[in-house]
Amino acid sequence: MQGEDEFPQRDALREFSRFILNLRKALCATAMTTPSRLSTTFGDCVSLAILLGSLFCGCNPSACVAAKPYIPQRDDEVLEKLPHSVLAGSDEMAILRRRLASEPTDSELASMVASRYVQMGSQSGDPRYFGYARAALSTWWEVSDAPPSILKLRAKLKEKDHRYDEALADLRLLLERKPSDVQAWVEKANICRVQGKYRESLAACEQLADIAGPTRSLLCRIPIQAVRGEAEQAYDSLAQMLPETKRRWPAAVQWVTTMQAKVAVALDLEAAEQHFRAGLQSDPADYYLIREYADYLLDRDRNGEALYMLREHLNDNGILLRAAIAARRVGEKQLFEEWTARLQRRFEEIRLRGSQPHGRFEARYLLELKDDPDRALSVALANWEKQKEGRDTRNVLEAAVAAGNREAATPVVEFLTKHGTEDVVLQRLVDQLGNTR
Amino acid sequence: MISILRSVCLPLALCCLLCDVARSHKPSDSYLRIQGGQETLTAEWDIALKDLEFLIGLDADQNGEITWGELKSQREAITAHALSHLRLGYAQQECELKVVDLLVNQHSDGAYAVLKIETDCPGDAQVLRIQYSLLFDADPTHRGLVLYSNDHGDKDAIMSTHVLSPESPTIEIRTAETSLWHAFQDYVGEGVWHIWIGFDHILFLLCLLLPAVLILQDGQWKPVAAFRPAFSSVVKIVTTFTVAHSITLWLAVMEYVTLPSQMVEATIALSIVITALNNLYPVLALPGWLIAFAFGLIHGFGFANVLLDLGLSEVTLAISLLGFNVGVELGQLAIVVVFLPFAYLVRDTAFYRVVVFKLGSALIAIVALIWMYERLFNAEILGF
Repeated sequence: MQGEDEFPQRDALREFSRFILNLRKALCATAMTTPSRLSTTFGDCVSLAILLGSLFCGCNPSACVAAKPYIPQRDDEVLEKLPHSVLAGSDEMAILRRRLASEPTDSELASMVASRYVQMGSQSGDPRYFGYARAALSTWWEVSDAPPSILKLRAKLKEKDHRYDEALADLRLLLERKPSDVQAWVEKANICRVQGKYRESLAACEQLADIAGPTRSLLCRIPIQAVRGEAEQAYDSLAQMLPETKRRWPAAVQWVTTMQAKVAVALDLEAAEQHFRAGLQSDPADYYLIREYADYLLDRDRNGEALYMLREHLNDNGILLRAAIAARRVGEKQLFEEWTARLQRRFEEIRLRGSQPHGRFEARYLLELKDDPDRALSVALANWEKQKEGRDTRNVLEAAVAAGNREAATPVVEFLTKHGTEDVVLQRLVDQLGNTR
Repeated sequence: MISILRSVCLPLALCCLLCDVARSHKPSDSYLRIQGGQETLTAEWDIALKDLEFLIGLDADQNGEITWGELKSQREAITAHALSHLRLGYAQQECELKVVDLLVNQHSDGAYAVLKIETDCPGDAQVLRIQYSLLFDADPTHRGLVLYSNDHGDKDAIMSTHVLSPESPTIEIRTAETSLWHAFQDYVGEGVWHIWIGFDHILFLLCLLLPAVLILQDGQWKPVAAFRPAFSSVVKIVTTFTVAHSITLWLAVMEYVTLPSQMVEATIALSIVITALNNLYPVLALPGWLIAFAFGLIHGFGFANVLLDLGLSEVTLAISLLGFNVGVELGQLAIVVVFLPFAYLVRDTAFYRVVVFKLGSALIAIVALIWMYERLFNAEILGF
């Protein structure tokens, strides 16, 4: 290395290798952004070339994950806010955890700790708490004859992780031993419905009639009725049972209101808006309802209203996604770009840890933010194999319309026809798809 | 307590019929960026404040907000906890880790504390061992993400990523594998470089190329009629030279054949003398490509000495051999590209046949003779 200045050739070499490095960086940068609006074959070729390019240069999306570390200016600068719901019980939880650490085989204590953490996770939206819950169950995580209360929580955690079949297996184990477990039947009905196995889902609800009474059984059946050609009946039942629900199970009122809003949207009823507002009034931070209402507003081109509501809750990927869509539609270019990039970073961080981003979000991100209908369609279809709720179905249809690929959506259309699903939005898309070649 | 739980169970379960099964945020990760390639290994470890709150408790005033002041005041506790859950090592050695600075970084799911870590590991350790156990007992879904990078001038390039989990809390990173492309580039450069500064190879090649635009008729050199035969004879010469020196380069680097370098260098000089003289008095009566092949075998041993001097590891052996060869070829190609058009254009002149061809060959023969003498007797006359 000594005396390298004496040789101008060495400099030329340096220049050459710098050129190669720059080329590499450019390739990496291209590999990270998706090509927009390209026809199928050309798009595939470009994607392949980019993929090969990124393999060749060995670049990694993780490069764009982290920002630059810094030292905050002031001591009172707030770096992180903790959810209040979680904060309240944290001391108590610490005590319980310490007790569990000294008696790790106390199944009652373990299921108490785990169920509290599951609750915290659901409230805060932070999956860390599901991790803590899993730690509390670690003694029984692989054990098939675990106590029923443990099995139930284990199933819940697997469901949260989208491992539906494993969750169902745990519920089956539990119900063999404890066939009168109301919650387990409800969970089973729920997972089966999400998977599109409506018959099994209904069968689980039937079991409830004997052990929990007709009202609970009906509550269980309503979401399935709503997607099996009995939407109007479902809507009426919801209205009828609202008073009793308020009286006997006030915690389930929000669920009834949300269901009413959803069915009203499917049936294109004016009252939908009223239900959304009622639900959000009683719980302004109900993320599920916010997402549904946002879609309702976006479908009616009320993008500004949607943006205003969504921008408060960008922690949630589903909300961030819709906020970026709304920002794009109202022409807030900067916000649209910033939020799209943020969402992309979150997806990359999930991939980095060896997991996959949720297909429901990724498909829509690709279609509505990245203008890549072909990839959106394949992601939406892969997701639809796993779960078949309204949004999942809609993602496939929208991507298929945009990509002009009627064939790919055939199983989805057949599924809707088979179950006689009534939904004005889905029906419009099916009609649109029928008009494409 | 239990009864309260039971009474909220059903409504909760019903709510969950609608709970979006999707995950909003991602589960807990920490990011361990390890930087090799310098004198010692350094690292930056990003740990989420939410995780530190759970492990250590940062929110001293319990107001639900973690401030920079609160984080700083827990620096010792954080350092102690973190370093007791991470071990780095190489070969049989354990590295000593020291947190030298505390910073903050923003990830997509919130703020992270950044521990700047210095180690006494050498920066060029071939195999790096990491044992990681942060949070695993409290959160089995936690992952430690290792981003290893090697400093080769472009600091941002991440060379490899690894995921640590409760199921595989220990990994070994082969740092050499991560920079194969860099190694290849380096060796291509070395190959070109060696041709450019290795005058003996240039002169040998020139000796072979000089007669390529001429043809021997009745003991007299005449210019070739067309470019094509000249070009094809150059291609033949360069190709056979390449094949020959690649064979011996490989044999020597793999240590199947070892020759004393002094003898090799002297024979290389001899090969130039013979080739140059053959231009003046065509006594060998062999086509150029055959001479190129025969002497190319000797030159290969010369290249091998250079390559062995550069130092090779087993991991990068194949890649460096290939890279070096490619570099040598590129260097040769550059000479041909400059020489051939010039020689072809002036082949019909007395200048080429007398000054360039005859005088040039004679000069080369003399220079090579002196080299031979120098190399045989360790003397220095020419100084290059």
